Amino acid sequence: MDFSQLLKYAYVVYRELWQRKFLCLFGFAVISFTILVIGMYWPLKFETSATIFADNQNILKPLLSKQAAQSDVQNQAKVVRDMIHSPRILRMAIEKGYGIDSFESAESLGLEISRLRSEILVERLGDNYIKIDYSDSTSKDAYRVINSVIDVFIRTSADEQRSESRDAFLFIDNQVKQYKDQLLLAEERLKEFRSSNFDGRDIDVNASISKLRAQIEELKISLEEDRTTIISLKKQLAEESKFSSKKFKADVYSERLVGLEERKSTLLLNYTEGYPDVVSLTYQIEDIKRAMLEGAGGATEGDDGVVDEVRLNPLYQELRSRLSFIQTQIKAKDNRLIAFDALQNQEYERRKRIAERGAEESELTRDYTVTKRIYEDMLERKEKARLSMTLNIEGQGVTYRIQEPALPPLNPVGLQFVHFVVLGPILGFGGILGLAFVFVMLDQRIRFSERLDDLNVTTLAIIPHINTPFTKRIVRSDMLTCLLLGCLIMAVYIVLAYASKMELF
Amino acid sequence: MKEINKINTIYKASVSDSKEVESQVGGPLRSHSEIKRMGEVDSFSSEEMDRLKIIGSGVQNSKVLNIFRELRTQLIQKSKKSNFVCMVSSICHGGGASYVASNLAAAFALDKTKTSMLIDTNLYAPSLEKLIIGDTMAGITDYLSDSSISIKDVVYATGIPRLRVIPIGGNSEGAAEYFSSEKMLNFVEEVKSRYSDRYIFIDAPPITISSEARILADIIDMVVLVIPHGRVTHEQVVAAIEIVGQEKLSGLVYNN
Repeated sequence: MDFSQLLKYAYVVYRELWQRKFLCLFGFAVISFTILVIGMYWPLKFETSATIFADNQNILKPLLSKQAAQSDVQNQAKVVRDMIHSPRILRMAIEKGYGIDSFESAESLGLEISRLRSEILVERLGDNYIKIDYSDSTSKDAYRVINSVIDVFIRTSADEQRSESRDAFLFIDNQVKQYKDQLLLAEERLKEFRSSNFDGRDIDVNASISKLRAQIEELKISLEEDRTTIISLKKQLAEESKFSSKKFKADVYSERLVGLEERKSTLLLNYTEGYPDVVSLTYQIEDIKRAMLEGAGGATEGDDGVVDEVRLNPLYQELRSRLSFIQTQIKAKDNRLIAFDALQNQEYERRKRIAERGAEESELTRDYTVTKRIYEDMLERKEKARLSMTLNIEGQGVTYRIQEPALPPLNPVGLQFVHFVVLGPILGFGGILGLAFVFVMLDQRIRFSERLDDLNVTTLAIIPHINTPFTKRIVRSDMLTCLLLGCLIMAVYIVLAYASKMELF
Repeated sequence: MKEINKINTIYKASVSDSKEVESQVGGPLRSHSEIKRMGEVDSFSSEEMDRLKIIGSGVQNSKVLNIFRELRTQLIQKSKKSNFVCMVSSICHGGGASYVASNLAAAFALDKTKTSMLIDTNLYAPSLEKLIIGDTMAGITDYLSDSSISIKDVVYATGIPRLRVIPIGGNSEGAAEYFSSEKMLNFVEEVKSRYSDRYIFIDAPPITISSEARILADIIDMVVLVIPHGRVTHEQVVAAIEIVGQEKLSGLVYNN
């Protein structure tokens, strides 16, 4: 909508208003006077505020660090708001401010409490400063109520904190005792279990089993060795017996032959061949040579003699003694193996038993560990609670102090009577104008010749609104009447407003 | 009505007998000098014209005068330069049809070579008697219902030169039937054909409301619809246009 169109609208609105000038004047009067009457009965609002300081930065804090639990600063405003808005505090404040029997019925008291709750605003100013606003219809009431509310709040909060931390301490103390009992019980159970169980631990059994197993393996290998030795010894003994008898005879003959030939050659040094001794020796040598040949040719000749010779063989003797020694050893080792097997089986049994009882033991241990941890935690908390309690009793916890006391408000805030007096005619005029504008916008009747353009019929002429001197006279007199009426309305309005201001009625 | 009586009494002395005047008006074609010699009563002063909201060469508001002149030109163009019977109707009562009709007639009468005639058929709010100087005896309804009354008896001179008025008359009962009668048709034909320089304007009641206007619409040459400011909706205008029909409707006049 550009400016020219707006002007056109304004003109149309003006015409509509002029057409209904007396109705408009009446409407204007009704709106203005309604607002004036509203202004007369509009409650005054006096606002006052106090600032309280939530002190939790005390000298003990750095000393205690995390040991004592202290309220969170961030939530101070919320805590204060919740506390002040609680019906208990408000009721106490009302009783203090207005007197105990000021409200007869519970209903009116409830209404007053909810009114206070909506009027009291709590906001956080800085880190520790909390502002409390309150507004009431009179300055006196505002001052009285805010003072009693803050007073009750500070007193109650101190009392409450003390009792709260004492309760907390008592509670935790009680809990600690309970957990201690539980811990002792768990300890007892664990001890009992361990004393009734000798199998030792899993890890011990496993070690001994592996040791036994290694020993058994070793034993088995040495047994195998021994058995192989026996077989080879036996084989050697069997072969040696035959072979050694022949060789032995041959050796004896060749030894005598060597001896005889030595003597013959010695004798030949001094004697001739015909020397009897030499001849005898030659015969003897020939005999031996013959015997040797015979021995080599006919093997089995006189067995008895052979056996005797064998028995006399030292190698054979050695072999025999070794064989019997090893055979004894094998027997001993076999016995040891059996003993080891038995031991191993025992260990296996033991391990099974340990596994069976292991679940029970771990449960008991867990029980014990958990209870112990909680108990220790509780113990720590108990100490914290004790400190907190001591702090609160000594007045070193979070305390509230009045930083900025409330002052009795001098002037009301918000809309006042004079605003209504001024607003009345403005809203009356604006309202009528707005209504007329809305009427022109919404009314379907044709007020602009442009609307005829889309009818597909030529608009032959647009006749302007004309005022003949005669109608001009009428308009002038109407205008005068309107002006007079308007002045009258305003005069009555001002008189009424003035009278109300001076509280004449 | 008070005003009209007042005007009538003021001018009574100087007015000659209107019937006598009318008797001088005759003949199918008249020269300029003949028209000049038309029997006229005394003219309205410009103050009177202003009060009656009738345009004239002496009125103060020349803007309105020019608008009606322009309107006159447009209507003549549409009628292709012959004289015509034009009905002026509105869509609601008090829509300004009488105002437009009388000013149109006055605008035609401003031209010294033309005469104009206003016929009041608005039974609900007859308003043209105020233009007549002197007493009125009978009107169009009397003429239609009473065969003893001739056309001459119902045509009256006005305070405006070259403008004649036929008032509604006293017999308005059953007017719808009279308007649809053969006699009405003949009457319209006769007044139109009598003088080729005469332009006839019928001030009709609102066309969407009255049956008389619809009946009249059949026997006239063209219709001018007056749209009053802030009185009618778009739909009502469309309905009125449909009633008149596109071929007879010469156009709309928006009346602020």
